[in-house]
Amino acid sequence: MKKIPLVLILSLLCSNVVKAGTLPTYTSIELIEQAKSLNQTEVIYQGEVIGDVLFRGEQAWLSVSDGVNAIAVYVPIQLLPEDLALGRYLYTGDIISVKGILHRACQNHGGDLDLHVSYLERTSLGYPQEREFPEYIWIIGGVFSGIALIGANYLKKRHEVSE
Amino acid sequence: MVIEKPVKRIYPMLYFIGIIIVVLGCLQLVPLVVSLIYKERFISSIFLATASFTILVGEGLMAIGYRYRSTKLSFGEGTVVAAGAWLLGTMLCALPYYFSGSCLSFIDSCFDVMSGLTTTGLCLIQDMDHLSNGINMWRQTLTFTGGQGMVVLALTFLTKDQSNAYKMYVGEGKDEKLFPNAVSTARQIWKISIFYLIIGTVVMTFAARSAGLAWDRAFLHGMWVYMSAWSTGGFAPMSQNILYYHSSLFELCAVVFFVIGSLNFALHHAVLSGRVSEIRKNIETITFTISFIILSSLVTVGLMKNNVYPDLLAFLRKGLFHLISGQTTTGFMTVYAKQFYYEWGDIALVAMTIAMLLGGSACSTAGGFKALRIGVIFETFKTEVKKLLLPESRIVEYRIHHIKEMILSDSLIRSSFLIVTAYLVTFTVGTLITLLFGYPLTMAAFESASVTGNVGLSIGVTSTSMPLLLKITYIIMMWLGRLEFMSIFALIAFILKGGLKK
Repeated sequence: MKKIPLVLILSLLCSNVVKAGTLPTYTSIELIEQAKSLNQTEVIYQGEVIGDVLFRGEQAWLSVSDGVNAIAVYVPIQLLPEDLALGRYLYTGDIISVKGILHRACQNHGGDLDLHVSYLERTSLGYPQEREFPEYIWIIGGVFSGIALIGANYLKKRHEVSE
Repeated sequence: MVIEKPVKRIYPMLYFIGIIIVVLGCLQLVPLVVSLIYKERFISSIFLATASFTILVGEGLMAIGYRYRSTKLSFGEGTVVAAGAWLLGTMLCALPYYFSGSCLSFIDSCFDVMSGLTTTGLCLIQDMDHLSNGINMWRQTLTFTGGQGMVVLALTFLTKDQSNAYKMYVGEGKDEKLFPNAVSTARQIWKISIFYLIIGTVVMTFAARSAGLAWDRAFLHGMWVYMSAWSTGGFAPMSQNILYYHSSLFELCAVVFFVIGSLNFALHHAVLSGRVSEIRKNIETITFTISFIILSSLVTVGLMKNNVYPDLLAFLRKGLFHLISGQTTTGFMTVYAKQFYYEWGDIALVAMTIAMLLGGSACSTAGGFKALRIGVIFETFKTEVKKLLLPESRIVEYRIHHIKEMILSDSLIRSSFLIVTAYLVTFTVGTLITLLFGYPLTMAAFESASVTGNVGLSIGVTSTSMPLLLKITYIIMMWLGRLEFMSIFALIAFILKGGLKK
């Protein structure tokens, strides 16, 4: 799990400019901290799509995380890939690069800091995270459970005797 | 507070601490079931191991103190049990976070557990957006249990000892008696909470569904956000917190539940018993409303001065939402932490800091000074001024309405001043320590108020990269704030006395 942000950061460093233009790619920290100066300007942002796609008619909300923060991205649904993979437990979502207008406090969306997207590109596909988990924890758990049950039985019997 | 013979008296205390630890172990079965349902094999194995280990530790303590279980505890010892159980319980409950790799270190794990149990809501958990359902369930179970009180939970199910029960109940920062004895009161607190849990989960599930989540996700998110809202906790399943849902309906439902959660359990009991007018007459609701009106005016001025939000809806969804979230000590957020610092301006931030310190009602899931104490202090000042204006021969009584008409006793006035002073000292020390690590004053005061009041709103100080000493300071501050100081002072006195005896 700890490797995910590293993979994302490396991915961001490798592709600094989206194909559609020559604007620099901003990080989530820059978008938040420089929201006043970047307000209503066109920016490029890149990260992993996480969680859910929240549909709103012809548009949809995506949460795009660069490993530090997830930024709310408002996308026309025709720009969404049909098989968009969403990041969840043990699954890394698709990495997308988006170009759009940053709103520090969006008038259409109750003051949310969001990005209204006009261009979306999937830069890499999501994939299941393959990790090996130690099976011996089941054995430890089984042993502890057994002892705990014996302990409960001991306390119960002691209680019955004293009653 | 005099505690005699600490070494010998430790056995009955260990027995009661053991009971509470066993309950905390059993609680880990909840996320175990969830992780099994969602086929999270690794997480299931972790919870099986940690739950049985925690139960084992509890049973061990019970066995050590078993022979002395009928010994009557003093008030001081009852409070030591509560504080001790919180300390040991925090370390044991941190094991699932640590072994699952959800937190970077054991201190981070303890921070998150203390934050959950105290219903603070600040978190150091890693990669929240990829968290398993089992771990998310554990976070919310901790918050929900912490809101009602882990001692309250243990009293509900595992003890019939009325005398010792009340002393431990008080030690956990609750002193309201809904019924003549503590066990019945504890059971009533849980009945009220379970009643709202069912209603809240249904409502929040539909709200999450309307926000666009699939039914299964809507149920889990709805239940978790409800558990956090009712407990005035502030944990949410996604890193964007409540902003993730982009839904004013979802936000509104959350506000309703966290406001209800911040009300006194005695008030809930009165209302559910048919005395609805109590809401209007109660000193806590009056104090909360007046202070909220004053502080919301300040936030409005501050945000308007800086031209932060473009229209009324945005102001309501951001400005007022965060003020209510702060004053009820919930900590749900719909902005990014750093936006407070970069956009809100000093006036709004000072108002938010005051709101977080004031807090919700006594004997509720909320933190802070508590509206009852503010009301008592205000009434004391008012009556003192009135006394000055009346002839000396006139006797003036200090009166308030809290569930019933009551004359303020000297001890209530004294304890109100004492606890508010203790909160202020903790807040000041926390602010100073944060300043020493190089954070600006506004940030330091905001975060310190949030930690002291068990709120959970962050201005960006709390992160995995913050200094270790600051993490430990915040853990202690959360603990102090939740147990309202006296139990922890009693525990420290007990440990020091025990050491001296040796």
